[in-house]
Amino acid sequence: MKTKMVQYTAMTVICMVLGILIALQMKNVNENKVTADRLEDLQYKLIDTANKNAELNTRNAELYQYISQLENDYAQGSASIETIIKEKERLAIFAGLREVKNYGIQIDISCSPESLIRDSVIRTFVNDLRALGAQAISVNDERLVATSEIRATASSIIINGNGYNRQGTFAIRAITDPSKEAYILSYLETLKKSVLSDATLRNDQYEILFQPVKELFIPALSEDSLAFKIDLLMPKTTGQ
Amino acid sequence: MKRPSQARSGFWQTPQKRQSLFLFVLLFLFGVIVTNHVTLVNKNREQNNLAALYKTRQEELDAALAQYESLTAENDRLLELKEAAIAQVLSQEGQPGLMDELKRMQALAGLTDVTGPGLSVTLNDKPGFDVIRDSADAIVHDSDVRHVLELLKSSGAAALSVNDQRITNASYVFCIGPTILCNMQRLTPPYVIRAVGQDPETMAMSIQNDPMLSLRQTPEIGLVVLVETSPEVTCPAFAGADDLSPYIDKLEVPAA
Repeated sequence: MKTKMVQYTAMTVICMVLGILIALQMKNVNENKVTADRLEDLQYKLIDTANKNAELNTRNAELYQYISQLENDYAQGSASIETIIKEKERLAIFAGLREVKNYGIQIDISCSPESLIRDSVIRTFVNDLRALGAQAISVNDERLVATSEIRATASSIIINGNGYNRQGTFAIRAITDPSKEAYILSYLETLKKSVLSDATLRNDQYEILFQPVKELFIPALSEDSLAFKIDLLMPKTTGQ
Repeated sequence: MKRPSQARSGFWQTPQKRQSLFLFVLLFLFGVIVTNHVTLVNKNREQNNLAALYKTRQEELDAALAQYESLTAENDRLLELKEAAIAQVLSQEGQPGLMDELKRMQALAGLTDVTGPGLSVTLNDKPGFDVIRDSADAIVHDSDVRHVLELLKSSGAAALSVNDQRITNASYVFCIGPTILCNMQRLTPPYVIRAVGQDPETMAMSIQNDPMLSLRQTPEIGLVVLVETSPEVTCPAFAGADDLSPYIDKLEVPAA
């Protein structure tokens, strides 16, 4: 009888310890789900958010200063309308509605008589120039804005609704930061090699030349251009 | 005389023998788990540090996100105040018409929310993408996002956004490791591209009939492309609207 009691007690104890160990094991398995990759992702998000906060802080401080200035001017009856006109001009420049000039880079892309310029090649250069900090870009004197299309048809490339011969030379002009000239030229050289290598695979023969220009002009885009659809952009007035 | 099989089954017929076997299995299992547990203890020390660090970073991120919310709300408030202050000044100067011009410029520059008929295109990696088994075409690349944007521009989009980042003259879409950089923000899949345009059906067709996207959606590749038209889609204003200097400080307007 006593032996049986000892046996049952021993079994119960062993089963309990086993249960605890299994629970611990399960907990470990869950903790193991935290990997270095997940931590890295989290750290990226944290850095991004911290950067955004720093930027927002600066912007809020500047806004606060601007509003204070306007309110002071108003209170003193010396409202500086010039400040507002200046802001309107800045908006127009950003929107691409003003001709602009400065130091920049010009890229000329041409092809052999058997080849055609691809729209993707022009788009690649445009996108990468923007990533390199270009503040204004034109292709064949067509100012590029957010909704400018660069699309190939059989014989033309359509930009802002106007067609350009795919066998002609495409001149991309961009106003960039002169202090980054070395980096930009080196980047463009790498990009050029990659584009030419892709073109060779497709039996296309391109010539790509680029150079810095001390002063280049980039034309404005008219508000009437197909690229702007002002009727859809303006908020709808209600109650009318 | 018992046959050998009968002898074997008879061995477990007494309760004592069954108990011994049960005890043996239990102790064996116990031994295995204890050994495994001891082996894991060392590994887990490192893992516990990682888990603790993860928890700390998560708390820091939560705090940073809360701060972001509050700064964004403050930014919205200041922008409203700015508009009111400008209206006040213009009214004092007897030039209320300038406000309309200002709003028009803001709209053309992409600095206002735009709501209207349009569509959303969702690009996502193949579900359960396996880096060894699946093709690289099964994940979304920056060039895919650019391609969709280009198709939408060509089919009449008036305003565009990618994961709520408004596409402006200064925007680019660029690959940084497994993420995409747009307006200096790191974006992760799924990429939701929204477009406002007069004819959502035409825009949708341009995506649905695109040969490259059709090929990538085949079961062998498995890229996810979802198109949904809607009578009302919103593309938010460019987030850097209140400070344009970094985007135009190199631009000089030639004298007339």
